[in-house]
This record gives sequence, C-alpha cells and structure tokens, in this order.
Amino acid sequence: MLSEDILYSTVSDLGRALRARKFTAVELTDAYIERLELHGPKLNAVVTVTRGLAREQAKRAAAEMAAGHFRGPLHGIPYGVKDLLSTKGIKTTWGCRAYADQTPAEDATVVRRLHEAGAILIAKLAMVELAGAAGYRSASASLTGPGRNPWNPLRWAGGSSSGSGAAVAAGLAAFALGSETWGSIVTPAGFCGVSGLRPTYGLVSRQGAMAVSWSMDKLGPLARSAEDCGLVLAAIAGADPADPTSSRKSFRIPLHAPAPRLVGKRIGFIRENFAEYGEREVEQAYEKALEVFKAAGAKVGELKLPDFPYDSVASTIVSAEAAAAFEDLIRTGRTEELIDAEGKVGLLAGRSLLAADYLKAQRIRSLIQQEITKLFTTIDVLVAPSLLIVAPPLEADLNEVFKGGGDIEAAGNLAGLPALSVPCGFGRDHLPVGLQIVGKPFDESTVIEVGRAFQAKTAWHHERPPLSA
Amino acid sequence: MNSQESQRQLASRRDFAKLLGLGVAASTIASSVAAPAETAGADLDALARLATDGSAAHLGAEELADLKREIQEDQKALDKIREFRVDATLEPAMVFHPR
Repeated sequence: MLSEDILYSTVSDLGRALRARKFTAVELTDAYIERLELHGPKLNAVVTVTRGLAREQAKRAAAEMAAGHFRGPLHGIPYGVKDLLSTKGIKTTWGCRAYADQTPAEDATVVRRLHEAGAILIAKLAMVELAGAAGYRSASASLTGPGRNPWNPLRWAGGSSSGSGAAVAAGLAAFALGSETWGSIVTPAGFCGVSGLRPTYGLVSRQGAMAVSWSMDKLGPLARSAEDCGLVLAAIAGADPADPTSSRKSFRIPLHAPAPRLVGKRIGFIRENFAEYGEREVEQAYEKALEVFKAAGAKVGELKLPDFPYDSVASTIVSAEAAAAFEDLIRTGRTEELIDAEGKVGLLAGRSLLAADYLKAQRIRSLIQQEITKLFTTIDVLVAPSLLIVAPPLEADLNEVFKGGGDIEAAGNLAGLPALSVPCGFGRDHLPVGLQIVGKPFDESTVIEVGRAFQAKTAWHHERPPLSA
Repeated sequence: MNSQESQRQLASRRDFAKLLGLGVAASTIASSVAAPAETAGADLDALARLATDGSAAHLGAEELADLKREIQEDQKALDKIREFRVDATLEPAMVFHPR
C-alpha cells in the first residue's frame, strides 16, 4: 500500500517516481481509489468512482511505461473531474436530480486530451447543482449533499467545484478539473487550501461541458501547486473546432524549470474592505503574503479597480444566459427538482430580464475589458485575497456570508482574465486562506511563474488537513 | 434622449405589454417602467408572469414570493446598469464570426 506522503505528492513528483519505477500506475491508481472510497463519501466529494475505466487506463499506462514509452508529465497520474464534464458511458449528473441519470455518448474535449496525455480518470466529482446557474443560498444545494471541507467537515468546501477542491485537499486525487463562471474554481481552491487556476476565457475548450453562461464559462485545474496547475493546463489548452469560442493559443510550461524569481516583478495589490465584508485573520494572512512578495524583491504597489458596477453586470449576464441555457428545464417545469429554494426560482427570474438590459450589460463589459487591460500596462500581475472570509459553516445562508467586497472576482471573470488561487495561510479555526494572482489575458505563464515563486518562498501548499480515518 | 430613441423605446414597451398579456395600455407600462419605485409591486407581478410564462413549474405562494424577491434583486442590478451612461457607438462584448 502506498503511503499518504506519496498520495499528497505533486504531479511532478509522482511522474518522477513512476518513471523511476518506484511504483506502477496501477498501484498508484488503486491507492487513490481506496482513499476516494474511504473519505470521498464522508466529504460528499464524489458522485462516481470510475473504477473499471481507471484500472483499464492504469494497466495501459503501466504497460507503456514498462516498455519505456512515457507520454509526458501526466502519464499514469490519477485525477477527477467535476461532474459537469461529459464522460462516455459514465453518468454525468451536473449535480442535479433532474439530470441524475444522464449518460453522455462522448467524452468532453478536456477529458479526451487528458486521456491522450496518459492521465487516469478515477472519479466524477461533486458540485453545486447546475454549477449554481440557478443561484443558491445553501451549501446543501447539491445532488450529493453539502460539499464538506476536509479541514473541517462542518464547514463548506466552496462552490461550485466543491468536490474538485475537497478531493485535491484530502489527497483523493493528484489533481482535478473544475469550472468557473464567476468564482467556482477560485472559491473552492481558497476554502480548501489548494492551488486552482481559472484560465483565460477561450484558452480551454468547453466542448462537452454543461453550459451556464456561454460568454463566461471556463474550465481549469485544481492541484497541489502552481506548477501542477501549469502541467495540467498545458495538456488541456488549445484550439478545438468543436468549441467556436476556443482560442488558437496554446500554453506550454517549461519542464523542470528552476524556481522563478520575483525581483523586479511589478505587482499591483487590491486593498479590500475587510472591516465591512471580511475577517481580520484573512486580512492578516493577505498582508503577510504581500510581505513575501516585497521581501523577494518585487515592486508592490496598491492598485484600485476602475469604478464599474461589476456585480450587477456579471449577475445580469449570467442570469440571462443561464435562463436561455436551461430553457428545457424551465419549460418542462423540472426546475422544481432543484434542491435550493433560490435555485427553484432563479432560472425563472432570469427570464424577466429584457434583451436591452442584457445587451447594456455586455456593452458595459466592453468598457470593463478595455479599462482592465490598461491596468496591465503598468503591472505584471494583480494580487487580491481569493476570498475575504474562511470557509463558512454548512448551515450558513450564503447570501449573508458573501455580503460584499471582492469586486476582482466579477471584474476578472467579465474581462476573461486568468487567475491562480494559492494558499497563503490560515484564518479562524485553522481554516485555509487563499491569495489570487490575476494576469492579463493569455498570460498564464506569468501568473504561474509568480505563483511558483510564491510557493518556493512559502510552505502553505504543503499543509494537509487532519482527516479522520 | 432624442425622439427616435424615445419612439424605439416606446415600441419595445408595447411589445413588452403584449408579451405580458396584461391587457393594459402600453402607456401605462411605459410610465411604470419610467418610475419603478412608485409601482414596484405592479412591476413585480408583471415580471413574475413573464418569468413563469411557458413553464410547467407550479409555484406555491412561498415560491412565488421567492421568485419576486429574486426578480427584485435582478431589478436592483438593472437599475445600476441602466444608470450607467455609455456612448451610443459602444458595442457589446460579443463578436459574430461569419462562416
């Protein structure tokens, strides 16, 4: 049986060990599946363990490696995906009772690309119903129950990629894929104390992914380190004829690159209103993180976001697009099957928006994009707290918990900017705090470089939650 | 607002009234849209009917109240969007690719 230390290794370290034949892909896969089956249900993190497929893929990977054929850094690495990504012949529930028996005929492009890279799919991971497209005010808004946080199962894992965050934090998979329309990767990464990358809009194909908002949906990795996020991104990024919004750009990460330096990097930081919307302990962790950048020689200066009604623009766009995306669910009345009280009516409410208002929101978004892009002429990256609070209790009213602040989340998603959330300390009740590093469009290289440099100076990403047996 | 814009907006409000099937004069709708604070209740009823039109969902009293609350929240966001002035030439952040 492989040790917990191995299961908490980074993708890079696991790859090195597999290539050195310290263990086989089959042994590694079996060990993760055993851990998934032990802890996954307790955390409500898993929808389906893909045991049969995983063993088949692992045997193939092991045979290829034994023959000296190595496909790349993800070869033989077990992972999970948020259950909104289509998987051929495996149920894909979208976290929702109305789609609980849905079984796609094809894999999503990202799943196919990971398969081609030799990665091993071990689980479909839990999520907030319809990825929060209908709105929700309770952590219980999921087919599999409230996403429990590995650091304290009475706290929320975050949403909507709850299972992806929890599975990586609990060492149930080496990495996971999540999706973000507005905060759904950054939030679980922050609350669960893992690294999570929201790529630039269009960098990763969404073919085969459930749509919430066509103009805002992105897919990205959650993993143990910034470097691991980069390794996964390199495998899934790139043009896809099946997704007309996918860009022709790709992403490459230099293998075995030395730890990058922060000297001279221009970092703009956002000062949030913690007194009104946040927690003092989170602010303290954030301030200490800023000191790390300064001490490493970065030029750190305060930066203010241009004045726009970010939340109003984002909520109008997402509400209108989600009401259109789930037209069938609305027409058939199956919105009644949503668990959350807000969710039962949220999609309907989106139908009351006027086309002119939707277009006005998209016009303001044009201005937001222009103005935010200008910011990056004076800085390399922008940093901000991933969240202003630590993971809330499962029973909390999420509308009360997220009462304001954090404009960067809506601004970054509206402008399609990449963001990497990395752990930067602990707040109340020893719950993780995250820092987000935001870059200009398609500049994931700099975002990941700064993240790697931060993680070379800190050890927060090596911390593990105290899981009970 | 110039007269052309004003007429265009009025036409859209007439269409809105037809869509709602309220059987009220478009001018009434127009004035209610112009002054949402005074007629917020009436607007919410109309918007709730628009939201549920064509859906087989059966909303109880509590769910209908939830729906109106959601719509009211959306309207607050819309107020901010409508107040925000933009140049008439500004295009939405959406691109059409002819094939």
